[in-house]
Amino acid sequence: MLQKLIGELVELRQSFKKEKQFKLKELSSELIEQAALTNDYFKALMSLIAYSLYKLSSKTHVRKNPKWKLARTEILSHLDAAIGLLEKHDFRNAEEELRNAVGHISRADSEISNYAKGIFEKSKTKMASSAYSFGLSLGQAAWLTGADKKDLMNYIGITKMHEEAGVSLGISERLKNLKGALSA
Amino acid sequence: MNSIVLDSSSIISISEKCFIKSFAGLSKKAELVIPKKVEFESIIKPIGIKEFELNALRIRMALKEQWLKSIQLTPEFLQLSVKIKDTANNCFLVDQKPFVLIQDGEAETLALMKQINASMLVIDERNTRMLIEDIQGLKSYLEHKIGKITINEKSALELKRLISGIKVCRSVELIALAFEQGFLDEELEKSKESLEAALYAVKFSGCAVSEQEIQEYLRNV
Repeated sequence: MLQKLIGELVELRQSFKKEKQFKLKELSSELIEQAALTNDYFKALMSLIAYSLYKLSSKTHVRKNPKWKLARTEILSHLDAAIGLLEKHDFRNAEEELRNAVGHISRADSEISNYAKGIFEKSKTKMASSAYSFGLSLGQAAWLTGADKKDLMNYIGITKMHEEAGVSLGISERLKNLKGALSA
Repeated sequence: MNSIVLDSSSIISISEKCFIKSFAGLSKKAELVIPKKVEFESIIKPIGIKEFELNALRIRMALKEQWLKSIQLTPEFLQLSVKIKDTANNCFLVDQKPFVLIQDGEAETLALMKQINASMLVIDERNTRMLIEDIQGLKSYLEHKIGKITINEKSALELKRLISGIKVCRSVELIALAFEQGFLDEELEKSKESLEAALYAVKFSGCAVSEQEIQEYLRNV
């Protein structure tokens, strides 16, 4: 299990270093699925980092910005540190290093990005929506990723997720039940 | 008077689309209740964060006007909420390990239903609703999404016992009722077009209702 985790973090680091954006995106999807199925907060954090790095490094104006070069170096060093700590079974400090990487991602995003709402915040919503699609409740998906419930609801609302699930009771029937419950 | 409990998902959908004033009329028909935890998540936590403040203020107004009440779980029912959460989170197994589905918030909402013997739960998110109503349907959905998953029959039976009798609707039904009863007359003209717009509005706010359901309902209105 630990070797697999280290392997995934190494893959994340390598994909980021080699600017393999779509690999980062793919990795984020795999990690959030695993995180959702096993209630793994550490993997959820990795998925957020992978997705944020995918989004940031996909943008030409970000890649060309000198501040990004600096941020990349810092992020890579924290990822390296996290890998080293995991190899020593030090999960707590490895998580701390990942959080330090997140700090640099957020800082780079706020300095370079064109949007008021940060990429890391948006990544939380995106990953939470994936977790919800894997069957987690709204609360559990939000908790695992740190996403805001309102943002998550709004995001889910514009997807086709609710067209996929079967209908148990339609509006008319539920409305009838509601009226019945009020008059009982 | 009967009680209706709303969880955070339905409060979000309704307040986000400016339908909270419908609570003024609805509260004459039933006591509208949220658990204290939902009050914390919907008002106390987001108020002061500019992005979320407006919605929090709307919900706070509903509490102030007493269209909505916030109730704390008693120790007995807090214990029940822990049992509900633990049982629910043992209902499904993935690779023989429990699949954690719900958080404290959902469990406390279900426990509150039992504490106040509420008639109806308004919940917009799909997965907890399916856990309550159709655990086999949820299993089929999960199998389709994630592959092999098994039901822990003992936990499923226990959960059924703990939350037996809980009836569920969504914000779409609450809005449909409010519309019928004229509680949205200040916001919207009384027309099928307005009703359709209101139902789609909560759908796009995250209410787990399909387009097919909305169209089917409107055909018969």
